[in-house]
Amino acid sequence: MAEVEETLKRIQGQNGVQGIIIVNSEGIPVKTTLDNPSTVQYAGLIHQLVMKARSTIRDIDPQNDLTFLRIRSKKNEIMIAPDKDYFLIVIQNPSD
Amino acid sequence: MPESIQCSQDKFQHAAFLLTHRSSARSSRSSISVGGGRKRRKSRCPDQALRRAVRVLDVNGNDVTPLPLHRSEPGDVTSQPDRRLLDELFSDTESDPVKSSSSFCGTSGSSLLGSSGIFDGPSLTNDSEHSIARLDTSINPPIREVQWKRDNVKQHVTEEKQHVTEEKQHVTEEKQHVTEEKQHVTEEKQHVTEEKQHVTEEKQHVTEEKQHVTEEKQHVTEEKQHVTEEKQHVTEEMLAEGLDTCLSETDTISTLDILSIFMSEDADDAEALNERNVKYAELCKNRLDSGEYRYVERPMQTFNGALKDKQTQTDKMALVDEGATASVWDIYDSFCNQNKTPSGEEDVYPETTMNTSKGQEQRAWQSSNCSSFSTASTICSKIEMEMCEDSFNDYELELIMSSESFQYSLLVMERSIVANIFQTRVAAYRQLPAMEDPDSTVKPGAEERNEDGEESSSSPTLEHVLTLSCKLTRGCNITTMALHKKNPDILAVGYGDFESKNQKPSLVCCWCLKNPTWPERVFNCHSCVTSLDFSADHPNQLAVGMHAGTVAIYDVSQYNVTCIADSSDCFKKHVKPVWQVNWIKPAMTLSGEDMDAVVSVSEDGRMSKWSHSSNRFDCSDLMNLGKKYAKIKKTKQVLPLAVTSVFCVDFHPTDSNTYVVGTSEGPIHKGCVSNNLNFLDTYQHSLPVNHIEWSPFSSDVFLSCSSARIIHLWRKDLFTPLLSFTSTQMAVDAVKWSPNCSTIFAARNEEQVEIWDLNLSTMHPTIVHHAAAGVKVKSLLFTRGTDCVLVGDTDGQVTVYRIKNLRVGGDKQVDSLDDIINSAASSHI
Repeated sequence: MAEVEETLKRIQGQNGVQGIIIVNSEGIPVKTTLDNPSTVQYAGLIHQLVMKARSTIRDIDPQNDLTFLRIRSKKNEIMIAPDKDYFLIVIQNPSD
Repeated sequence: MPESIQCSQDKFQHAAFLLTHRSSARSSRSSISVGGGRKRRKSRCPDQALRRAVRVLDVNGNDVTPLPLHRSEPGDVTSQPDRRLLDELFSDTESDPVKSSSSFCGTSGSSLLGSSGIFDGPSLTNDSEHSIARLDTSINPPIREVQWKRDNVKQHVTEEKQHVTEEKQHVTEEKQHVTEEKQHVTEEKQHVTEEKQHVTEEKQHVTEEKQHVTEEKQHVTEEKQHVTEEKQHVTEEMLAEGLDTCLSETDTISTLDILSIFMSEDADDAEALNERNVKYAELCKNRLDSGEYRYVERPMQTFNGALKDKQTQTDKMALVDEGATASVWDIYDSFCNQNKTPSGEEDVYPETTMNTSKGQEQRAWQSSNCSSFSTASTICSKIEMEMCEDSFNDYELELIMSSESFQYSLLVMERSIVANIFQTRVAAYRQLPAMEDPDSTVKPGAEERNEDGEESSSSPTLEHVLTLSCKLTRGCNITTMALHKKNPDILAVGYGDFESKNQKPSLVCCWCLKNPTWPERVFNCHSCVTSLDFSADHPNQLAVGMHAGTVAIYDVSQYNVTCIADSSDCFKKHVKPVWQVNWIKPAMTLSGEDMDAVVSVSEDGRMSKWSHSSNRFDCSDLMNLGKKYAKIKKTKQVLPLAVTSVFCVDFHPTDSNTYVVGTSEGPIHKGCVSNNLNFLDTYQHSLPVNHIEWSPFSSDVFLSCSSARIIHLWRKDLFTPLLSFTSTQMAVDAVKWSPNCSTIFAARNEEQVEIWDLNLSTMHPTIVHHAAAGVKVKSLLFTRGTDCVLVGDTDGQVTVYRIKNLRVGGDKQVDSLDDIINSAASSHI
């Protein structure tokens, strides 16, 4: 547990990381470093997106599964590590 | 017998009339009431004459013409006995009560009742017309009897009339019978039952018994009258007895069964039938119009059941719409779960409540798959509500964070983030083309490239790529580095300071070059680490040699690094610092073990091979240089020499049996594992050898460096160095061959790193890289797969340098080295 906390802190301290959100399987954020409205927004929207992405992958091959999702936008990059029980969302601005 | 049938049919038709117009239902068929008045009888007079002329024959040809009444007298109640009988049979209570009829009713009723038993049989067995005929005849005598009796009162007046001779005879006969029977009343009373039986027996003999039947009926009626008269005498006795009354249901008596007749139109009688049908239809019509006095309509009323309202109430059925989308993977999952559930159920039960929440989450996961955008908005609102449930969230958060997959996700995430940051540099390290970030506002690569472009015009240089450092290691002195044998990205670095007085525990970090910001594994050793080596057979095992003389093996596969073996308990352990540990692959040993073992070289002069078996970690000396006894031939005295410490050892890359050791004394010895007494060869060297290494390309050549600031290149069969390199005034701490190019090696001293390329020059190093200000170079390592050099310094930083602009030799690596060597050898000699 302690190392998990440490790792989270380290990630938070990396260059350009804007926020970390941990969302449970129902789409409810359980831990976040962003403010509340942004967190809620990110959680809801990304939840849907991950569902869709996972559905896409598995429709093509049901034995395959989504392991990581990165969305690169103009301003930042959203990295999502999805799992059965949770989502880990990190927003980073890598040019910082 | 059409005539007979017709006749009977006439009768029946008339009977039908009677039936239809007597709408009252008579429950008791056996009861009769004399109905019809004289009027009716009179109206039927003309018909009776018709009928009288007709003879009725039954099926067997017996004459069953109903016996007419003895005589018809004016004003008498005798006309049309048959009809009247029919009337009496089927008439209703509307009929005028006639005294005689009432009495007749009683008697006839009683007679019929009484005779019902008797005539049950005959009436049933015969067909209906017969029965009625019988009834006619049966009733006839009592009527006649009554009438006769009545007439007896009037007596001799009515007897003398213009009647049929047959009737007269019957009357006379019956008179005689009556007179006779009167005398035998009591006797015949007893015979009633017998006669009844006789009657039943005589069922089959219809025509013969007819008269008997009629007689018996008379008997019965007489006897009944007598019985009623004698009631007073018998009652006392009879009361005492107790009568057995047997009530039985009579068989169904069809009182009217008119079968319809179908006749083809071509038959002879068709016309007659048609006429009759027409007549009947007319009669039906006329019924309504004229003959009202003939027909009586009687309405009936049935009770209507009372209606009652009854109300009930049920629960409202809640209807829920549910929809699902079956996607390809959904079907696949259901199929897999279906196969798994028999085995998986056992695992479900012993788990704690944690599982239920997981199950809910899984169901939520599955159910949310069909969520639409509307659901997303509800989720958002739900999120806001639930954000305040902190305690539940905390528990769930702990659950999530303690799961392994989360830790793995964290790892991947961290690496992705770092890769984002260090993307250009990592690409340079891996010799990948640096991808320019198209969307970044700042262009970091441009500045660097400009600078580098100016510098590295064409001369070979070391280019800084990455720095592995973190706050843990900042300021620590790097003592040693080792690369993982299987995964060239993993680097073990030992931090420690053995030159200082206080022995503080040192740090070993395993870095992954994908993440230069934080080591993957961190663990402490109780003493300063002097040497590290990864095992080849067990890639996760790391041998550590320490300043205290301890040799330990650690397993770095898990985050929690565990120590597999430690030599602290071994009594043969080194007590002096271990300067080098090596994993060697043992050659054919007697015990047949195939796993590699650790060889440690210590300052006490011993070179030991450590074997880790079950719990023991034991060593066996391969060579002991500790105490050398010089044999002085002259005096034959053995004098102990100074202890020589072994600084370095290197095993032959192909022949793991041979090795070369460098000692503090100077001579380099080539030894053999199997022979632990003597060395094979000794190479002349005067000063302590700091490092020694075989060439990975050429099996005959090895390099050595010493504190004498000279690097020597040896060939194993020559006992003097083949080539010598010197460039600085400082002691050369280490020399390493490049794994990529046979002619390149690197040397380090405290100030700088030198890259020598023998192809280019044997006099001067090709690249000289000075250490950064304030730090000293403490460790040097070539990377595998890329032409980079790892340099560790006193500041705890491992710097990755890329060798630029150095022409790497072509295919003939070995040849080029051999050429050089040969040329050197030739020149040497």
